[in-house]
Parts: sequence; C-alpha cells; structure tokens
Amino acid sequence: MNHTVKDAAFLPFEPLKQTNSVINEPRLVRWLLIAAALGFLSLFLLLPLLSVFVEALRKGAGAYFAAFGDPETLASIKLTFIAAAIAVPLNLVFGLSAAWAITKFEFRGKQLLITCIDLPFSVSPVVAGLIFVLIFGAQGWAQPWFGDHIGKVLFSTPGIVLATIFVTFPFIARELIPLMQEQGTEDEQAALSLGATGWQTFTKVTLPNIKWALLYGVLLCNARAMGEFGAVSVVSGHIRGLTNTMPLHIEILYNEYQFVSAFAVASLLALLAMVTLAVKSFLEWRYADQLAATRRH
Amino acid sequence: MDIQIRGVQKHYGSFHALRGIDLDIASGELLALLGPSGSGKTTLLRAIAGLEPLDGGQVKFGDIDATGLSVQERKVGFVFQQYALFKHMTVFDNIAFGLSVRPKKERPDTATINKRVRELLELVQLGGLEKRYPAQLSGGQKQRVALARALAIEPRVLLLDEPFGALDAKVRKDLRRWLRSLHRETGYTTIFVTHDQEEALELADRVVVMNRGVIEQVGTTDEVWDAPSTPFVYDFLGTPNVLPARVERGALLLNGATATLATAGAAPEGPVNVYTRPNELRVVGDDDTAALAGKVVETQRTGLLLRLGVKLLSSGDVIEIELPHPDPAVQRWQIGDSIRVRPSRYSLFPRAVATATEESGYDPTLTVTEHRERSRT
Amino acid sequence: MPGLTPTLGFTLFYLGMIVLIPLAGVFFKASGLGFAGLWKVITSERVLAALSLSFGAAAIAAVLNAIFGAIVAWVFVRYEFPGKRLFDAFIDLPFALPTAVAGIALTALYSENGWIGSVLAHAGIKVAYTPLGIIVAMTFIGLPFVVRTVEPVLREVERDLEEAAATLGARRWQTVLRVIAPAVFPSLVTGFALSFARAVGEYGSVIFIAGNFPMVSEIAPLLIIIKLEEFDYKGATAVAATMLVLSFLLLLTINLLQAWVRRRV
Repeated sequence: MNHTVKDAAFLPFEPLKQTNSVINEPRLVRWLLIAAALGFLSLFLLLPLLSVFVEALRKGAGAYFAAFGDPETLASIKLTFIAAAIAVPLNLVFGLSAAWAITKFEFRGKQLLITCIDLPFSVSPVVAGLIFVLIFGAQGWAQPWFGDHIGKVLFSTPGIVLATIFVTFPFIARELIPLMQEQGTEDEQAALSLGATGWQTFTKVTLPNIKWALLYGVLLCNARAMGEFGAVSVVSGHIRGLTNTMPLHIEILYNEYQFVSAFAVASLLALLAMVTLAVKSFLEWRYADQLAATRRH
Repeated sequence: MDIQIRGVQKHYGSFHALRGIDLDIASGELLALLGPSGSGKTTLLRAIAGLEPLDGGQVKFGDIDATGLSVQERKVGFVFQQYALFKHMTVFDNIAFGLSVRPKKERPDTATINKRVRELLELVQLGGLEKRYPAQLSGGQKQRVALARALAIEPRVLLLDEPFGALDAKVRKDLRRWLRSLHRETGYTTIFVTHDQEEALELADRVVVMNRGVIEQVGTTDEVWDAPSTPFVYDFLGTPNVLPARVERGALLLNGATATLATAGAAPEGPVNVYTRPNELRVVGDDDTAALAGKVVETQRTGLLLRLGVKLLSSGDVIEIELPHPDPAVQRWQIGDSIRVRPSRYSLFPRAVATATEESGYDPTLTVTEHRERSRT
Repeated sequence: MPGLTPTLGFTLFYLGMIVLIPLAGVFFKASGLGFAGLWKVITSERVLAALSLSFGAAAIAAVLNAIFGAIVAWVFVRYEFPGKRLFDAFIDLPFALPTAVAGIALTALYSENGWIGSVLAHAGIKVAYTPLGIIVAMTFIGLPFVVRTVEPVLREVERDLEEAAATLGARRWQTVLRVIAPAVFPSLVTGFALSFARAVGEYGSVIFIAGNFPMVSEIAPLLIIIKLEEFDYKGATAVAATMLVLSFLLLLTINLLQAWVRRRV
C-alpha cells in the first residue's frame, strides 16, 4: 500500500503512524470532524447509557438494591435466564450445523439458504411475535393439537422461548459462515486422510479453528436473547411474576411510574451490554485473525 | 528539466531514512535509483515528488526551489507501483483527471482535454480502450494508463516507483523496451526506483546505488559494474568472493596463503578484503606462485556456465568460481580434484570499511537474492 | 467430507420450523383476507398514518445515520485521538443494549425535565412524545450499521490513490469528492439500507419516547400489537404483511442500485 512501509518492512517502526501532510486535512477540519463524530456518539450513545445508571441511583443505593428484593423482579430475571439458556444452545447447534453444511459442501440453492437464515434480521420483532400468535393463538392453526398434546405455548414460557429463538436465530451462523468459508476444507481433508472420523475431525480440527468466532457469536446471541423486547412482548401476555422477562418487567415498572425500579432492572441489562461490548472488543483486538474477515477492523 | 538535490534528510521516528542526499540529475536523463529494501530509494523518489515532507535539505527543479512547494504545485508525473488508477473512472477519465481538476481559469476546454487524452492514448498504444474501467485491463495496460495519466499534466519530471514490480517477466521485458523508446521520444527527465539490478543497468543512463539512506555510488552501467566503489555495491550487484588479506609495503598477501598479487595502485596498508567475482577467477597451472590452491568440493553446470565450489587449502573457506563454456575435451572437473586459481580482476577495501557497512545495518552475509526477496515482501 | 446429510437436514428442518413455516403463515393468513380486504385495512386512515410515520421517520433516521456514520467512520479510520478504543467499542452499544433499556433511557434524556430535553425545551423544541422522539430512537438503534459497513471499505481505499490525485494537481477537497467518495458510496448505501430496515421494524426503543398518539406518533409495529390486543388478527396480519412487502421491495431496489453501481467499478 505505502512504499515507505514496504521499504522499511523489517524495521521496528510504522511510518504510517506519522501524519502525512500531503493527504491529510487541515488541522481545523480534522478537529471539527473529530468533534462532530464524538459529539454525535456522546449524544446518542454515552448519554443514554449514563442516564440509565444515574436514574437508577437517583434515590440512593438503598432504593436501588431494594428494587431487586421484589419477587416479581426476581421472577423476571429468572425467566430471562431460562429463555436465553434454551435459545442460545439451540441456535449454537443450529449455527454449527448450518455453517458446516454451507461451507464444507457445494450444493444448489446455497445462496438462497444463506438469505433465508438472515431473514429474521429483517423481520420486525413485533411481526416475529405475531407469527407465533397466528400459530398458537386462540384461532391459531397449530393450537388445537398443541393444546391437547403439549400444553399452552402462547402466554407462557414456551412461547417466550420460541420468540427468542426466532429473533436470535441467525447470530451464530452468521459469525461462523464467513470464517469457515475463508478457512476452506484443507485442514479437515488432511485430518480425514490421517484416519480421523468425521466427529473427531470436527472436534479436534474445526472447533479449535473457530472457537473465538463461536464465542463471539454466542456473546451477541446471548445479548439479544436477554434483551429482546418486541417479539417477546407480543407472545408473553404480560402475566406478572410468570411471563415477564426483564425487558417486559422494565416496561411495566416504567408505566407504573416506579422509575427507580425500572432503571435498576435496566441497569442490570446495561451492565450485561457493557460486559458484552468489553469481551467483544477484547476478542476483536486479541483474536482479530481468528474472527471472520468481515469482523476485522 | 534538471533536478538538484542538496543535503536531503528524512527521519521516521528514530529511523534515519535519508542521511543527507546530494544528487544532480541532468535534463532529459533516465536515472535509476537502485537498492535493497530500506535503502531509502523510494523515500527519495517520494521526497522529490513532495509526497514526503523533508526534515532538511533542498530540492530544485531547474531554477525553481521546489522544497516549499506542495505536491500539487510541483507538477511531477508520479507512477505508483500498484498504478493507483481510480477504479470508478474509465481510462479516459483517469487520464483526463489531472486536467479536469485544474482551477477554472487554467482548465483547458473539453475539446482540448479530449484531444490531449486521445494523443496520450495513441502514445501509450491504448487507442480504443478509453471507455474501459481499470478492472478490465491487464497489468501492462494499467501501467501504461498510469503513465499516460502522469504525462497528461505535462510534468516537470517523470517519477516511477518500481514500474515493473507488479508485472510478470515477459510483460516486464516488453514494457522495459517500450519505456526506453518512449523516453527517447518524449525526452522527459525520468527517475525510476528498482531493486532489480538487471533492470536498472539495462534501462538507465545512470544508476544511483543506495543503501541505508546514503548514496553508495552514482555512475553509468559500466562504471558501477566495472568499478564498484564500495563493498556494498559489489555485494549488491553480484555474489562476490570475499577473501581476507593484508597489504604490506605495496604488496597484497592473501591470508594464510603464499600468494602475492600486485596491487592496483596505492592500496591502503594493513588488513583488507579482496572482492572478486566468480567469473573473475581464472584456473592457473602449478607454476603460478600467486595462485590459491584448493580442492573442488562442488560442480554444477548451468547452461553455458560451469560453477565450481573450491575449498581453499589455506583458510578452509569455500569460494565460487564461474568458468565459461566448459569444454569437456579440456578438463572435466571432479569433486576432490586439486585446483589452483587466481583473481584476474579484483578490488581491495580496507577491512575497517567493511565493518562500518555492517554497523550501518547492511548484512553482508545475506546474498543478493535474499535482499531481493526481502524487498518484495 | 462427512456430515452433509445430518447437518443440512437439521439446518433445513430447524430453519423450516422456526422461520419459514411461521413466516409463511403470515402471508397465508393475509391472503385469507383477499386483496380487497387487505386494501381496506391498509388504506384505513390510522394504518396509513402509522405506516408513513414508520417509513418516514426511519428514512430520516437513516439519512442522519448516513451523514454522521460517514463522519464517524472517517474519523475512526483516519485520525488518532485519545479515547479512540473506548469510543470504538461503544459504537456497537445499540447492538448490545436491550431496546427497552434504550427506550426508557432516551425518554428520560429527552423528556422536558431530562438533561437534553430541558435544554431543547428552552429553544421551544419538544422531542419526547413527538415524531421527533421517534427519529431520535431510530437513529440510536441504526447508528452502528453505517459506521460498520463504511469503515472497512474506507480502510481499503489505498493511500496511493489519494497521493496520485495530489500529484495530478487535485486539491484535497477534489480528492475527497472525486476519488474517495465514489469508492465508499456503495457501502454507504448498504449501511443506509440496513439502518433503515432496522428502524422500520423497531419497537422497543421507540414506544417509550413516541407517546403513541394515534395518527401522530403511533408506529406501525405498535398498531400491530394494538390490533392483536383487540383480537383483530386479520388486521394485524395485514399491517405486518404490508410492512414485510414494503421493506422487501425497498431492500430489493437498493440491492439492484448497488449492483448497478458495483458493475461500474
């Protein structure tokens, strides 16, 4: 790219770090642009995040922690964890299996399959909830059979889990497919030629190659699973202490003007988001080479 | 236009990329900047173009002091190694770019630009390809578009960075010849950077050999080839044998050997290195007292050349000899044969100088091929 | 290579059960209404208002994100400044922060006694509980898309190109406008489309700040929920199907546009 760098390829410095006046903007323009960018980010990202914690602690630490003594709050936390604990592993298995089929084999309609996997991303969460209401609702076409044989789906945990699975469906597959496409099949073929079984090849060769991307996908999938609001809202029925996840509970508390409690529960989710971002940044920084090219920056 | 470069300095952090470069380039000259990676050749080219701000020194184009001029004001035609063609523009628009970005007052009208672009397309033999996009061109065609684009602004000088680096061998040869004739036709003062000594020696009127931010030697092809002025130049332009020796009272004594060679002129007294190329060593008979005795340890025939590895009896060092036109009737060298050789041509450098070059970072243990490989990475 | 049958089999089964069959249900249900029935629902005043609000506000938010996203991407790729890593990590906040949390936080900020809302109130601008608030929330959730699609492309723009333009006499603004902008434009369009698509369907972060006044600040997803709560399944499905089709058509147009731009590169 830059010949100066190339010329000095084996020297312990990076000339590109130097500002090159030739292709740089005037100092004033640079500062204005940086100010505009950071101003925009602060206004739209940092301030909202900060306000969550400020609002939660508005009445002091006592009121903050009291919010978590409420059994309904605890029930919502529990339900959120249950939903994520079911949805994430299922999507993990799906992601691995889809990525394996798509990247290790050639077949017709592959591009269509990839597009279909991405579909839930482009569907409004409310519509995602709606489709399960149409299936399992009072007039739903699957409800008669399910009602008789399995039990209630809508307005109970199974519905919430289903909706969560739907909205987090593509996360892991999407992380793995580009990476595994990039890695090709040579490693696996070598393992097979050395006598490894298919399963051994997968666990001993493929899995180590994709573990960080997998973790990355699980992380994003989990963040969305615990935070999903729209889809879950439609199928939950909002039964307090029973079918409210944390985001739904936040809504109820907020609408009842229990602001400190609402923001206290919100602060938990905000902390989860910050941990997610921290681990994500760490993975991008430390294992950039082991994440898919689309993630490298 | 002639170029004068005086005391040019450039640092990158703690790295001294150009250590006071002085160079005069005559108007219309075709000059090569030759050197390994990190020698500063590209930095010097970019400094002339104004792409690298200088830490000291002066660049003059004719009577104009260009030191303070911006890239835009310098009006140099710069051809980048990877061509840097604008991908979203056609060949035509690429070539016209330099004219179309001029301020309104100086900008030629559309008809003039059209005419000029068409002339350039003819000159670089790309007539009819003006509607193509760069992605639809071969490497050699891209190279010529880049050249035409640089010429469109009627530059003061033409600067080319590794002009053939990205091309395959066949295209490279053709383009080299073509560039030579284009230079003759247009007469632009042209400077190009290369790490390929063959390319530099074949194409350029004069060659500037650079190493670690300094100029080692400036001269015509014959001058740098026949009389390398430093061990570095010797090393870079071939793989010479280096024999440790001493000069005593005007006579050269090869270490550990009885051989005595007449020194060419005033040689420095004391420890020296004898530099001699494999093809400058001759096989001699037993009666030659100035010869080095050894045993053949390796033979290898390459085309019309026979290469022998000879282990010297005196020091145990293995030197390489290249014999032309091996005639099986005369002598078939076998491993283990005794052999006596003497340098027919050689140069002496005080050994202290060699150490100084080592300190400056050049590693004489690397072969030239290794340097070339490095410079490609 | 072993494992095609089980992995592809499971993939198709799971995809079918979770995504394709349920989604097809929407269109099946919608088709039950017939074209006339569908038309009647969509052209009702309230639905039209909600749809145009959702799509209009999403478009404005996506434009805002395109402008500022391009600036953010430029600044993060080209300049060094303290805190860059931290800010860079925070750009993805809207991906990680639950929408409900974002919703109440933005509402708290922009309501009349909030940090930003109180300042704006002095200027006579009301954000919370107006369509303006909807745009703010949609800008928030769409923010990372433009930045993250433009960044890698901008990083790929070779400095050679800019230097070449400079040696040819181009001023800096000419280089930015004529050399860099065309190279980055397709990715900007992609980022815009992604940001737009996300904003159209957004629910959680919007409903808190929107105020949800029918005909004024009621977004289409909320209307679906209202219709569901009234057990008007057909009406809800009609609105949902319309949203799906409109979004799909829009993305298709943008994809075609992009393919057209790319063909020239």
